[in-house]
Amino acid sequence: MGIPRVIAAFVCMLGVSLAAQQRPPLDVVQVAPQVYLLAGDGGNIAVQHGPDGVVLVDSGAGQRSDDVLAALKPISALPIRYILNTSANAEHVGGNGRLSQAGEGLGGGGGGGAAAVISGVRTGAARLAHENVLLRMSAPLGQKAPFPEAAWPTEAFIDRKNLYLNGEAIQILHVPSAHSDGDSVVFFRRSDVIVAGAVVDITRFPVIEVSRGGSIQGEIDALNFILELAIPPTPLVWHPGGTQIIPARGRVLEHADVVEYRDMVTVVRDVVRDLIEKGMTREQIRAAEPTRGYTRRYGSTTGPWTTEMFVDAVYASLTKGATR
Amino acid sequence: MLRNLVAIAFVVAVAGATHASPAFAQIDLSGTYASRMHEDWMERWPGPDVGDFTGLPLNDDGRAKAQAYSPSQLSLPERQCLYYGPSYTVIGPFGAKIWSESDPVTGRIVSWNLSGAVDKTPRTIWMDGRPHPSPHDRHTFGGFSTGRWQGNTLVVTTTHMKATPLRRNGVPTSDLATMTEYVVRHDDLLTITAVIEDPAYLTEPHVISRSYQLDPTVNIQVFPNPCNPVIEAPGLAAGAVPHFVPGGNPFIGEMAKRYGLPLEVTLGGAETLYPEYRRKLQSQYVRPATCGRYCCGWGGGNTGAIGFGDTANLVCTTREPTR
Repeated sequence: MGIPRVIAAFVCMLGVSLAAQQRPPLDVVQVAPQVYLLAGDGGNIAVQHGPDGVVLVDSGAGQRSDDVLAALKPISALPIRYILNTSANAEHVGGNGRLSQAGEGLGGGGGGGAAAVISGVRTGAARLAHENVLLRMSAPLGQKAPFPEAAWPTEAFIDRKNLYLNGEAIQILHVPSAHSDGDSVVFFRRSDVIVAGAVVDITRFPVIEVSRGGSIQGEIDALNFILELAIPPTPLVWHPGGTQIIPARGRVLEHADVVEYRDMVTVVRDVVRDLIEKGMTREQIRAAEPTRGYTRRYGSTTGPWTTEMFVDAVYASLTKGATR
Repeated sequence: MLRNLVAIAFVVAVAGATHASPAFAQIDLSGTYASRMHEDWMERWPGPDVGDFTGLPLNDDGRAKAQAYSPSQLSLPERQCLYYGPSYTVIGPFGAKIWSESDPVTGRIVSWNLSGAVDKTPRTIWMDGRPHPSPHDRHTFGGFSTGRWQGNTLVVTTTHMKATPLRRNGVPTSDLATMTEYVVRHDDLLTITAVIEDPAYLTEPHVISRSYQLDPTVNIQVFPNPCNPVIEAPGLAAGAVPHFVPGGNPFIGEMAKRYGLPLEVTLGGAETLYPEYRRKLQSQYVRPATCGRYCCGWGGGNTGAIGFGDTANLVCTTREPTR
């Protein structure tokens, strides 16, 4: 290797190193004694830990999986056992492959199961999701799948799945036809923490993928379902607390915050429905700005999910002729 | 010798840091204060008119959300026990009990604390230099406040507040709002000037001031009442959120009619805050023939019972305009 190449390689390494240094660190927030929120790699990642190992809810976008692994070290020295995916959204499953590979599945069950125990082959963490997540991430034989096989769920369920890990019951509950047809919310019962997945994204209007089975009514139903699961700190309301809710993106929420978000989504649904009943076309409804009251808080004119896309999704789901 | 120099340098550094620290109170704020209702009493005590957004630098979103508001929302079980956040409680009619907590070893004030009331949560103003929480951390009804002394003024910065009313008729603040308060005690009078900023609903900071008077006779509760939601509106459909669609609120024009004002005045906006707007308004103002209500000053002669202070024994006998 000539000197110019060495210099070029050094400059390249320096650039990579500087870029890594310039990235803000992942934000780690303790939500409950056994539960943390990791933010900074796409969607939020929830971490539950204990003597059985680490359970992740979602795996982020996968752009900073090594940073995620580094952030997990101070939380637990034990391996990742499970990754529970709340949807097939790329922001939630992007780190599946890398994080799963870094983990170690439980013997006799997920992540390799009995075959792994018999063969002695070390397997990664199990990946668990609703079966529609598996269908969205994979493809029929001979077709190109949107995600590599190493990221696909290793276990799929239909309605609900219960686990008992790290001394607490964990419920993975399917909420039909909300953000998509594969959404789940995860309820850590002893920690009293709900991971809402894409149903609640406090940084923007909810992403509703109508072409993937999502609908405005399903979204509202899912929000009301979360409000039924979550308990506010009544009667001593001045105590901060009650059930904590981790959204797809943004800060930790409580019951009152989800009420605010649910009300917003319901009001926009009602306004769009009112305009449809007045005979307006989609374009006229867009022009009427039915999200007014919430546009600066949740809206955007750029990026992957604009206000216009949200209005279109509400319109599309209300004009499909079905409540879902 | 070197060891002594290091020791001296250490002592000097510690002494300097201690001296420079803002944690020692310049003024003792402790006490029980009654709210003086000289400003905005109609808004604070009986409550604002429906559609009264005057004096608020609302943007279009803030105005739209306020116009869509239905008081029936308060009957939703999930909303019955929601408290007011600091950006409203500094505006409202509440009195205040203020006390400090000190470090038992150093005696330094760790926090100033403001009492709660019927429907507001107690607040802690941290004076020990701790940082505000992560942007991903939870928001509470008390918010997260830190304080520093600027001369004899306590400057309080509050973040991490929940969405809460800015006015009791549905004018909102969002969870993005922040507030800076300037707390000044002058003899037995306490003045809090608050600057509320909200990128979601305000076009410029909303600045208000409130006066309190030291009054050990008023009964200020430190903690709010416990709250249990009940079914208040059995006819409300499951999942319904009471509100008005745009243009559908029939009460928005009431205030304009009552006071002979153009509708646009009642809808707020930054322009309406400034003196120049009066000139624009003069030609459009039609003085009502009679005074419909609130003709005799705050409370109409009623006396507050929970720390609002007395009303100088005002007795309302006239229904004519008072000016």
